[in-house]
Amino acid sequence: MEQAVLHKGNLKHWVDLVQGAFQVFVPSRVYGEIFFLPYAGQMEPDLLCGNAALPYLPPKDIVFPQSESLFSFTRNAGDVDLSVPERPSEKRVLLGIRSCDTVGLHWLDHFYLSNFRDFYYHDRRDHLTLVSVACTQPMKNCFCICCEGGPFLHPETTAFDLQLVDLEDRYLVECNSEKGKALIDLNRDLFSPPDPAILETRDQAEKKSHTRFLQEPTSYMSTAIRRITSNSVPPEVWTELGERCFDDGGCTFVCPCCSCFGVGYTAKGGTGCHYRFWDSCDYSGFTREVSGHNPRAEKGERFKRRFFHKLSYHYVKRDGRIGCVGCGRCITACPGEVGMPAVVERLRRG
Amino acid sequence: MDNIYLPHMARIKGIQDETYDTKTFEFEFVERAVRESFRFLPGQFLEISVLGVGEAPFGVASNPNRPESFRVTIRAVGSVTRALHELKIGDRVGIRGPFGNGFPFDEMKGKNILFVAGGIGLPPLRSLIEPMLDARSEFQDIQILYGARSPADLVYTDRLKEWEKAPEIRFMMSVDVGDPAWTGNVGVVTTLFPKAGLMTQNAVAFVCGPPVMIRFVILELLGRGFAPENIISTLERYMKCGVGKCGHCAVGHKYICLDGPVFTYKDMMKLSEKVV
Amino acid sequence: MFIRSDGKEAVGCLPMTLHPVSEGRLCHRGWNRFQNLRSFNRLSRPLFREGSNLKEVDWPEALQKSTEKISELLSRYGPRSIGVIGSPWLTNEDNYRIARFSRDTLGTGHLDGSYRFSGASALIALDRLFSGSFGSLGSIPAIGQSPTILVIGKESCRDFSPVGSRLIRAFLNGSTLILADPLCTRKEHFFNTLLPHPIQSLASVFKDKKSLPPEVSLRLFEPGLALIFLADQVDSASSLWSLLHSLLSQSPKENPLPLVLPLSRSPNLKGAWDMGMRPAQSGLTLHEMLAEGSEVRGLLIFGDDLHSHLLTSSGGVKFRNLEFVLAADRFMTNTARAAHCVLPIPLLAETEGTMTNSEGRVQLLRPFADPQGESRSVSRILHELSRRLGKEFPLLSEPEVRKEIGKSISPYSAAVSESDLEKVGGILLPAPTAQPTGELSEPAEQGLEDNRYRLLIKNTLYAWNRNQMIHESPVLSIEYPSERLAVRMNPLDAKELKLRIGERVRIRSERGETQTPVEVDDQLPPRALMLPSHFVEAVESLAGEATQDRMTRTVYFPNLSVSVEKI
Repeated sequence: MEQAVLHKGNLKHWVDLVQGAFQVFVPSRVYGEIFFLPYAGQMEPDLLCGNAALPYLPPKDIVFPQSESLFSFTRNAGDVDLSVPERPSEKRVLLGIRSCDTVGLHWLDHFYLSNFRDFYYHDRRDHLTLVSVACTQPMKNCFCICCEGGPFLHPETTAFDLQLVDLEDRYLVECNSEKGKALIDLNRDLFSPPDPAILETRDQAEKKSHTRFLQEPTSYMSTAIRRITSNSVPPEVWTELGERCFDDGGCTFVCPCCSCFGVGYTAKGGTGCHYRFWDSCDYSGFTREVSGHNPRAEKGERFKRRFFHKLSYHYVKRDGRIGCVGCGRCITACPGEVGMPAVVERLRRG
Repeated sequence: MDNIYLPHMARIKGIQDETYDTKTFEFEFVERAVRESFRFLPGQFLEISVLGVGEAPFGVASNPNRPESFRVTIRAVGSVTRALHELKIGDRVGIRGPFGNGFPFDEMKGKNILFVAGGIGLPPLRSLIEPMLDARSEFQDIQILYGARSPADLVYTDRLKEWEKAPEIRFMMSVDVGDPAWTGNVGVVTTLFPKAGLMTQNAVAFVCGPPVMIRFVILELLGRGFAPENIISTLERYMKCGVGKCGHCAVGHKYICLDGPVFTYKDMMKLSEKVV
Repeated sequence: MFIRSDGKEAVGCLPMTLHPVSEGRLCHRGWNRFQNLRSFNRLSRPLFREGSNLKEVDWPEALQKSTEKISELLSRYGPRSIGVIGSPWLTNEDNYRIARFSRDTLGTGHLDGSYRFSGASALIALDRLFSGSFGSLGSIPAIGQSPTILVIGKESCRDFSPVGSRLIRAFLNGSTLILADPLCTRKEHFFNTLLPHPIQSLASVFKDKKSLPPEVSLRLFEPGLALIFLADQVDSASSLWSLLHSLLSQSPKENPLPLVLPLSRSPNLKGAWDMGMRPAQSGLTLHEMLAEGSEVRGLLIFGDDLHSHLLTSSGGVKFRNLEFVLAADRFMTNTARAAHCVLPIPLLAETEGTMTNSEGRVQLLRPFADPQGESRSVSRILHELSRRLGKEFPLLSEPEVRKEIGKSISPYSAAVSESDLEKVGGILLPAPTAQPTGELSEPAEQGLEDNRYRLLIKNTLYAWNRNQMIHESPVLSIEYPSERLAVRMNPLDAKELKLRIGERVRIRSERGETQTPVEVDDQLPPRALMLPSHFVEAVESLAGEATQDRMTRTVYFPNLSVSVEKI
């Protein structure tokens, strides 16, 4: 893994260069909420620091949008013409994605690009380079250390393009892929090799970050994983947790590792389109069949199902890792206060 | 790269009324290249869409050895199937697939085969029965037990008559409730078991039908000595994509569209959600 | 919340984490709110009836023909022949304009909101309690701090995430949560107590205190009570008024009012009501307008699908026999289908303006996109109709209308500051200053004879389903599947009668009978049946005529004592 130093004074210069060859997305505030918006010459540098908050909308939206058209059709005499929306042609850079979200995107990569490769996801992902910023200060809901989701990324365990480690007046840039290298190569003069002191500071920053996680929501996942895998959680626990679930689907939508979608169909006159949109296994209609029969009619069953998918060892084998990166968004999103850490704690208590 | 979500257009080549709410559609792909390269395994399914209305999975019900004209038997229960029933010969539908794991075929050679079908469960089994009959000598005894709610609910009545007469298979059918003209067996399909003379050694049973029926038939078969790994059935779930991405058909750690829809009873028991 | 676009259409939405009410949390409708914005079924051009068909016409023709019809009715029968209906799916400004239009341009006192059948009763009770309009009776964030919370109807917390979220927070802080719902036997673990009584009986239950657990009756009358209910499901205003009175009369005088939150499925119930969307002194309510033999011959309906919410079949008959119906709406609803003229208006997401939620919080809408197709704002439609009728109706901007509202509608004088409205969280209207007054009424429920059942007729989730937001969204229309006509029964009762799901039963009341299939609901108490109120024919066969509610000047169906037998 290559490492280089970028002084913060050169950050804008570098980003402007990158913008010349890519469409760069940077974190920006809209009414106080952080979104990734196209870079237009101005940045909010505090959102690119090690202690910045993550955006509420998970970056999965860039490769797996909340809704997108699959194809549109037009009736033409007796025949039907199908057309797929224009494929994205521009290359994109997501600057300032956090470690947990990077791991989350790789979870989605594994899911969407294996078996049958997802045509739409593939195009968007192929054109995307991720420049993540390591977290030196966790937010109050963060628990990535319980899920191997951060706060720093390691080349041995996670694929990543570039990682920026915030060291006060400069970044240590760690490059782990060809895509990442291409960004540095735009102008190597902006970067300088690191000296041992810098590397030492970097390691200290990582250690310090680990100590800053709050007691709550961190919790050990392994007991919960074991109990779920062996199906040894009493059904009353799931019923109780299910009662606290409001079927809103918020947790699935903000989760970087949730990938389910539904398909909608519209038509008017001789044209129409088929499109997909984020769906949630929390919804009672998720498994309801046309006959009205619903294999997961009970809320507790649906709740159990979601956590089975996220934590059971069967799925870890299938998906490559557990379906949680510890970003803490579900804690914000859940009205019933039964996000991942609350559930893991409950399962641990038994 | 193939777009797994983009259907191929097909035209309706033929429509056969089976019952008051069921029709068999014969399809033909519009594009010649697709027509010529289309193949499917017994037990696989297609995602058929009425554009602008919806898409749903249907098991192919015809002989895989004759893929140039394939058939699907559809009962009108929801918006998509009702829309399909409104279509005429020549109308267009979108088809994606075939998807799913299909029934085992070669491994069944040399065994006694039992088919137990209930109502709309006969169509997917037919995609296995027909090629087995094509290669009849490779299999031992072939027996078909078919049950429907009433004589008006029986499908493939012409083929049933042929099976009744065919010396190379043993065929029995029953209806839950008869009508004045019915002279055959009356009772649920499990009532045929005592008089069916089942071969239970070196045997495999394929069971398809409504979930209640499958449950009782499996109990009967287990009671008569069939091992769980030799009872094969299909699981159904609400499906959207058919390719293991949308998440709707997941049961336990399996996806019905990828790892199924065909499962042995032994595998079904291993799923962590109750399915039968 | 944010609606997100890809430059062409709505592709997603996201709640604001910094909003004081949502705090980043929504319900399943909220999270899928954007889907109906991309529906193909939007009305894009005006339509006018020709025989049995609605034909696309251009705006001048639609307006001209509508004006002719309206003039005809005015000249032949006078202004009392026309009714005007506003809606809780329109902004405050639009409702205000509609009220002015009915008064100044048409001169008719027959003005009402489409919420007359679902929601008005609750607001009338609250108005009576405070002798006039009330601003805010509490905020949703404050619920989290309430030591005692009384929730009426399960759906109140299930379906309103910001409310439910504060309930859970209160629960985790040790508050007492009480659920009052006659249709359920099982409470969730975060409720301390379940009171299986309908609203009508609660007042007497609280007065008697005999059937209340002692710690509950203590808590109910201490300061800090929060009362949450679904306004849409309150049928009789007097029962709510009576309940509120009983809660207040037994609390010590120096206690503050309880926090009262009348929730609604519609976004602007309180706002539309506050804007005066109700009949003038001698005017008729919507129900009275649709009564057989009423003097109303024409109806101008803005922004809601009335036809799908009518409670009586006679109302439907009258509706279909009106000489002129104008429907201004966004999608082709049942009302539009039955109308003579249909005018396309913009969605709320394409409008500027303010709405007032159940807390009494006034918030600004920021249009997501320009109005689609040829839709025109309500303001412009009213202006053009007035002009053609020879009357003045100024085209004012939203801030200008807000200034007028602030001058004429008292709590809204606090909601005029544009800069305050711009803030996230808008402006919470002031609490009422008047002292609450009330009276106890409504006898308690009578006991049941031995082999009888209690039939409850309820305004259920169906009302949510008959709504374009839900219809036009693929995921929400699956969550709210159309209900099949059936009566719901407790499983033990079904077993006793040897009934299987789907089998038909004959239900007999004093006034008539009906036959329906049976569905089992393990939430229902024994000897209780439930029939959704929108199955109008079945309901009327059993209940005969609906009961008049003098206070609300509408009708509702009280519980009936019935017998059931298998067919």
